[in-house]
Amino acid sequence: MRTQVGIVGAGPAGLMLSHLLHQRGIESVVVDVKTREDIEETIKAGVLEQGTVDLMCQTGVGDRMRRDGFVHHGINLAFSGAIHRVDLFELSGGRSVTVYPQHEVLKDLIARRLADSGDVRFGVSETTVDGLDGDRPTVSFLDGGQRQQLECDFVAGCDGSQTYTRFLIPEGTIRTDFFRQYPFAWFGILAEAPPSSDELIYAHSDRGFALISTRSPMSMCSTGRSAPATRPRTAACWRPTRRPCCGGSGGHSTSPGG
Amino acid sequence: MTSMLHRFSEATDFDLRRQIAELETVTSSPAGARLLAENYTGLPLT
Repeated sequence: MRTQVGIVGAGPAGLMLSHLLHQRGIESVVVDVKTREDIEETIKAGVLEQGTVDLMCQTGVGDRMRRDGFVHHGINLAFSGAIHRVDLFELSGGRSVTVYPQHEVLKDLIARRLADSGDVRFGVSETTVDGLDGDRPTVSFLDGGQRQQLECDFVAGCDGSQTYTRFLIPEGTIRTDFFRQYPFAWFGILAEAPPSSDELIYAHSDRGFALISTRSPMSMCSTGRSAPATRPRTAACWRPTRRPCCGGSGGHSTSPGG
Repeated sequence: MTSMLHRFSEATDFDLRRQIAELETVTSSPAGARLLAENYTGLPLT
C-alpha cells in the first residue's frame, strides 16, 4: 500500500490532520490500536480553545459543536477565601472557550473522514514505523490478522502522551525534549448532576488544587483535585522535525487545567 | 495554571505567598487578567 501521509493515532490531532490534508488534496491513512467504539466513548478533555473552535467551523466539522457546545465567557479563580471571576471574552477582545467534550469532537471528525471516503483503520495492532532515515518511511501493522505495510512520503506521529513515535526521532540532533514531571496526579470524579456552577471554578487551597468543571451544559459535572503522585503525570514539549513529525499530545501534553 | 494553583510539597511559605500574589495579579490587575484571558482562550498556533 502507498499513501502520501501515514498517520499513527486517530485522536484529535491525527484525525484533524487527515481532514485538513484531504481538503488540500493530499491523501493519508490513519491507524489506531483502539476500536472506533473505544475512541468515541472514552471521556477525556472537555474544553476547546477559540482556535480549535474556529478551525472546526472553518473546515466544516463544527455544526454539532455549534449546536450542542456551551460557550463560556469567563472562569472563576478561588483563593484566600474569595472567588474572583475573570471575564475572558471582554479581556481577550471577544474570544472564549467552548465546553464540548473531546470524544464528541472525535465522533464528528471520524464521521466526516468516513463520509469523505477517508481511510481510517481502527483496532490495528503491532504498529511499527521504519525507514525514517530515507525518503520512504513505512508504517506496518496488523489489520484483521493481516500484516499491512504502508509506504509513505511522510509519517505523522499523533499517538498521544504515551507516544511511541516521538522516541523514533533521534534525540540530541533533531529532537530536543523539554520535560517536567509534576510530583502529583489528578483524581477526577464524573457525576451526572446539575452543574454546580455556570462557569469553571479553579480553587487554590492549603490542601491542594481543586477544579469544578463540566462536560455538557445539560447535566454532567466533574470535579477533580490533586493528590500525591502514585503515577506521576508529565508535561513535555519539543521542536517538530521534518519526517516524521509529531502532533497533539505526542508532541506536547500538559496537565488538566493547562 | 498548574504552577499557579497547585500546592507543591517542596514549596516554602515564601513560594506560597508568591503564588497568592500571582493569583491576585491575574484577577485584580487588568494587564494580568488580560494575559491570563489571552492564554486561556488560546494563543495563535503560528
